[in-house]
Amino acid sequence: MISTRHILLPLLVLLLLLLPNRILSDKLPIPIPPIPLEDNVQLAIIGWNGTHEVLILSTIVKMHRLYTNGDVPNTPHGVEYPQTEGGVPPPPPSIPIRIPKVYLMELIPFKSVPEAKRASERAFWVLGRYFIKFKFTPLPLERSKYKGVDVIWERKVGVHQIALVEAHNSEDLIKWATEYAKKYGVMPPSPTKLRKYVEIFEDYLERGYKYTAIDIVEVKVYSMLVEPIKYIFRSSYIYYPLKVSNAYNGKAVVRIYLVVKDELNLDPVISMGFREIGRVELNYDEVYRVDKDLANLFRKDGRVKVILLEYRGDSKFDRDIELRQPGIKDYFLSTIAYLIPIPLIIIPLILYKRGKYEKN
Amino acid sequence: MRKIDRILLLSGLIQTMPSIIVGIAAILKANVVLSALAGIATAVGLLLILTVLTKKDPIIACYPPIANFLILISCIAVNLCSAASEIILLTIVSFIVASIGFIIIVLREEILK
Repeated sequence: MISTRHILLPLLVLLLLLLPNRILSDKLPIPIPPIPLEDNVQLAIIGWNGTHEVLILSTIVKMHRLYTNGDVPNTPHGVEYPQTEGGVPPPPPSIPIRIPKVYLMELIPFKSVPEAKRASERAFWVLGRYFIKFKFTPLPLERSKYKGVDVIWERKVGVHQIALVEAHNSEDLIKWATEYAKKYGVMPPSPTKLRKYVEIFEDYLERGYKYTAIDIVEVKVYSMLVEPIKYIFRSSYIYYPLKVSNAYNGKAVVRIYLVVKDELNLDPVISMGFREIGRVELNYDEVYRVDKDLANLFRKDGRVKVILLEYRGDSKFDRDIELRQPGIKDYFLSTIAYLIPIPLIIIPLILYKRGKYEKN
Repeated sequence: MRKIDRILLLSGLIQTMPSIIVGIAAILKANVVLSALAGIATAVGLLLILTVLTKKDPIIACYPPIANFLILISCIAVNLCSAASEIILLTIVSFIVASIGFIIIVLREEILK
């Protein structure tokens, strides 16, 4: 007799083969085997000192999870079952599905021979921290029906639904959390587990941990940061390959941290559709914490500018990023561009006479 | 000095002073687009001041600030320049002066009385 899983497995394989696979970062990654990959984020840190460039590249790949009868997500806190919107748990798992290995092929053009090194994901977290603008909009204190629990704020951050509560009683806190979870369709833990939680939180409250963040995460996608690679090469200008990503159709997100010593004219990048998200100034030690090779581009006593640029849009680029330090010609052109409009506007209008006003 | 002249002189100063500073900064950064925009803004401001000083027609001088503001927002819209702080300053100042110019053009009969 043919069981359900015998039908499901070939169907799943067929579905995987039929789904369009796209990867949209500009390093031209080609996924093998076909897995639905979408909305990829290209991350880059570019450090440039006028002669050498350090280019740290990575990609965030999102794989949409395929819920089936046997798809059991493994979370860092153990195995959890996917919850449906109505709070009704799906049938118990029967077939554990393993996600196949995904290989990406990346093609990056260079003008000079680069030195390739392994980089750490930490570089992106460290730099990203300087640009986080996490603004809380505290809500007025909500009176909970449990006396020992006060909601300080509640908000949605991406896929996280977070509530911060001040608790004085462990039992009330767990009861509140259980109700809160139910509100978002998450099934409460078993009574045995609940008792265990009460004990654990009693201990925390006794030690003065009176604030608790309750986070309900919507698990829809797996996001993976591909281990970054670092290229060090000679370059008389800031270089970042973008045209290569024209091979893909669809949307792309490119996030670049530009680490430079001197001021740069970013208009060529802005005209390509990039937005300047923000800029910070860091000293040598701070850059060293991001990456050793990046810091070695600059002098120990100086400060560097970190400019965060972001592109969201179609994966269509008419040119690569090539930013040069301004030369004498550029300064001359800027001066001319500033001075020319002044006589052009003033002289004709001053010469212009209007009879009516002259009479007045 | 008539009321309209005082308004134009003040508008001219509001337009000229920040534009000169932004223009110098743009030249030092070798930013051609920003230099040109600052140059136009400076010219418009100077025009307002010179209109008052040379006692020319104040109504005609009110059109260039409007054109200047339109050029600025068009450049931002087509991504010709970044929404940097200099551009934002120029846009705000140009908007104020363009609004004054617009009001003067619309209410010229009442103002020139």
